[in-house]
Amino acid sequence: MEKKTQSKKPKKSKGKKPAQPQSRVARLRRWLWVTLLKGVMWASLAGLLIAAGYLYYLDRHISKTFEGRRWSVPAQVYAQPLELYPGKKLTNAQLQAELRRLGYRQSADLEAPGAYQPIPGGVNVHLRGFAFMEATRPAMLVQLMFVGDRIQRMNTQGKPLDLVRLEPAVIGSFFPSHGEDRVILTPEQVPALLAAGLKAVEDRNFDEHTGFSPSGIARAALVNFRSGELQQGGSTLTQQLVKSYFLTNERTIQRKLRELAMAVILELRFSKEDLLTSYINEIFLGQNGARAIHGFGLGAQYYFNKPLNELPPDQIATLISIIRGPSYYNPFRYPQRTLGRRDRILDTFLQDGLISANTHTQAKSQPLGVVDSPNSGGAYYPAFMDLVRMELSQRYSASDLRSRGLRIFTTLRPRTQENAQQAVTSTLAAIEKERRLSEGELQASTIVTDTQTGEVLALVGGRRGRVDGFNRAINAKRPVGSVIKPLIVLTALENGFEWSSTLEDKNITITPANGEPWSPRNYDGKTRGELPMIKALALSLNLATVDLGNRLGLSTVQRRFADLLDYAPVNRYPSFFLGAEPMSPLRLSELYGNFASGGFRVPPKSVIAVLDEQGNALSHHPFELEQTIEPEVAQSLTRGLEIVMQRGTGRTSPYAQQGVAGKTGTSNDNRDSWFAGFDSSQLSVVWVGRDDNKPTGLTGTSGAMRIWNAMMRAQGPSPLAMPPSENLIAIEYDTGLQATQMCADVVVLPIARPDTLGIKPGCKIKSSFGDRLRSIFSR
Amino acid sequence: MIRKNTVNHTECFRGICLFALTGILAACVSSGNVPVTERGSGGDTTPTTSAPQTGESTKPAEILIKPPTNSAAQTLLARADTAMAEQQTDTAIVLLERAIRIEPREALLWIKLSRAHLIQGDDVTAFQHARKAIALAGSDRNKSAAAWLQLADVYQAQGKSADAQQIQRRYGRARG
Repeated sequence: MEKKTQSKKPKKSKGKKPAQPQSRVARLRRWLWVTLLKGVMWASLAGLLIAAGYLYYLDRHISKTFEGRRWSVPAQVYAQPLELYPGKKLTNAQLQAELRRLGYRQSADLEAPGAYQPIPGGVNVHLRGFAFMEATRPAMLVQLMFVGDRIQRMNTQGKPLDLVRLEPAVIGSFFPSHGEDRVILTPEQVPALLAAGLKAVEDRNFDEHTGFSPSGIARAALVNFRSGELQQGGSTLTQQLVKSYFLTNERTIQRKLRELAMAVILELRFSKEDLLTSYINEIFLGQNGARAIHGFGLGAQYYFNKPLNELPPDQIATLISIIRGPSYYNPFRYPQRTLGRRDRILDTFLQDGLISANTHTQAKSQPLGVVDSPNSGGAYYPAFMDLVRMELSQRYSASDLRSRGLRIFTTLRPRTQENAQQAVTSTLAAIEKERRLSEGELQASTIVTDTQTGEVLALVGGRRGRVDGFNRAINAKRPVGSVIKPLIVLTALENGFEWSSTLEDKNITITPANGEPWSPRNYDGKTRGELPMIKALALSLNLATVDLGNRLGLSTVQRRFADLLDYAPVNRYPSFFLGAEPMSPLRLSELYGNFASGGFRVPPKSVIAVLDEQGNALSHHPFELEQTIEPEVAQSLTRGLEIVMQRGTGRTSPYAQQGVAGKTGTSNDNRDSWFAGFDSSQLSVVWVGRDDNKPTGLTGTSGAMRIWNAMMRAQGPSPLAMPPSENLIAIEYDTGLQATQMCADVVVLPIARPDTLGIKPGCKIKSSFGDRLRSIFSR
Repeated sequence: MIRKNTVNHTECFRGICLFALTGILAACVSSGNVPVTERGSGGDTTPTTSAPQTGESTKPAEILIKPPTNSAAQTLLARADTAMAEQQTDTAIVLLERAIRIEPREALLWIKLSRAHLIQGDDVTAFQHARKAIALAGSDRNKSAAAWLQLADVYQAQGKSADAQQIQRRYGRARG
């Protein structure tokens, strides 16, 4: 039988396709394709997640920074306003200098505030308005007339004015958190030309783009190619803003991409106005030593010493020029180059219709107009600011000060500060030249305070005033040498001694209980035998001082030190009597404040008040005083210090005979030169030395006192006026015996117990009735 | 050597006359009253020579004191008085401190400032400011008395009535 072999015929079902045979390759391909697709999907998902995560991180980062910078308005720090009134000692020239320091411009047109116009015998001023501590003063027109070196009268709108003040100088505008200064502007404070001009020059499509601008890049490339220089950058303002937040020199692709991403994020989150304003407040515009200039507000102050809203179009153009390269277009170093770029920017302004043809011509004809040097634009006193920060930190925590817009009123007097700084700089240079020292070897510092209130009027931390550095006035402790001696004399006057009391200026060796034998010497190695206390002080004799100190007792004198300064001295050996006690100029000023104030401890003070943005006082710091010395004794000591100037180590000062009191000091081996001097209004403490503590060869007279002389020269002394005292008696300078000027060389000093006085032989003393009464009743 | 002067006859006669005079003066001085005069005050910003108002109607009349010589200080003092009268002590303090920066040695300003701090409850500052006023008043009798009386007020506020009364007895509280 035969099997039927039949080819299988595929079953045909209706509507169904016949099943295809699947080859291996096809299956593999399919599997690959699916896997690839799946892989790509998963990879994309993962990638998206990572990218999202990264973007989230970027978002948080940049937004937080932006928000943090945008909403924190820095604290404004003000100096004392200059008070003006009839009778005030101020010349026309001095007032105009003050106005210029505040950025006022001389102009015949006084329509806007911030201008002044000299007239014969006086000046017309359009004062700027200002919100003072206790009152807001609107802008006003004032006329001042002068006679000699005083204001004679003042008028405003035809009516007499008896008191007015200039607005205070802004001496600091800092974020307490990061310490940099800014002058923050709100959108309303941004001049229209600046906003429009920035967009025209730096980012034409700013208002339309979303963070980056391909057409902007293309245009920039074309312009740069055509002009052959880097005229335009391809970065948008937003990108530049991001870059300025994270200053880095890294210019890699990843950095660029990251900036791009962050710029886009910012654009999505914040308004154009916010972004532009932040840019204006943040963009880097230059560097001066340790100080970075960020933002147009600070830039206007730094380059032109004016508030931004007073800048004419040409100066706005100059500031915009700097953006492209603050070093390359540095107006101080490369004025021509900067001028060229400024003019091209003015052309752009004209082309875009931002300024008229007239304005354009006028602007281009102006010189660059920046201030003389990087250090003359706007008030900047870092050494004084150190003291302000110190005081604030004693009262407030960092978070207290973080609220926006704090206004801090300080005690600084810019004119006194400038004088003091100038005196230091020029005197050191002169001394170095005379002694053939290399430039910069010597250093100095000084503090000037008001004698009655302790308010710090000036603080100089070193010879280079405007560059942050070591603050010698606050932080450099050096042995004070002979300037300590008045403390010993004060203790003596309070313990039965008189100016006439005899001291022994002779060789002595002291061996303290737990120390080495000590044999002090006078500065010239000589001894003078017996002499009265006044002469010993005037000549600053070491041996006589040690004699006096021993008789009083070291602990007695040091207790007095602690009374006057609120802390105990560190040196517990008799060398303390000769000033082997390290102190800073600030501390020494506090010590002498007790004398100069007439017997009150007046700690040096720099902050008057802290107000919030609304003008409410967070704190007001009243005058701080504590009576430490009987007024009569303080006056007596001051008289003695006047004689130190008239006859003693201060006598070579040109001001020695003009009613001033003072004491020189030289430490061991002439390493430190000190002077402390005061008149009726100001106390100044000066230190001169070397940072490496090597001997300078200078004494207090030849070093520190010269700086004080220069300071006096700039403002003139206010002579001490001694109230009449019943106890004033003439005694012979060499012996302390009562005498008259007819028969001896006398000095006139308060003597508490005149009956203790001997009388110089051969002198006819016309005793006052009071003396006779006293002598009768005191037996 | 130390030698006493010999007394001559002219000196002796002079001495007797002066002695007699002294006796008469001593009798006057020991009565301890400080001359007091009441005067109205200008009240506005134009400088006057009359005694400034304290603004507190229950207080006895001010001792007559010369106003600050400086016109700006006078103006600020007058404004401060007005502020005190309107219970704006913070403002008064700022104005008085401004005045002191112009005339730092004017005892009257320190007296007023002491008063303002006392009103604010800062008796420590008020105390030292009163002491400063005393030191600055020196030999000016009226200013010295006013300064001491301000110190007495501080003592009173501190609960030291005995000290306060001792001063008030010595310097004679005026009764208007």
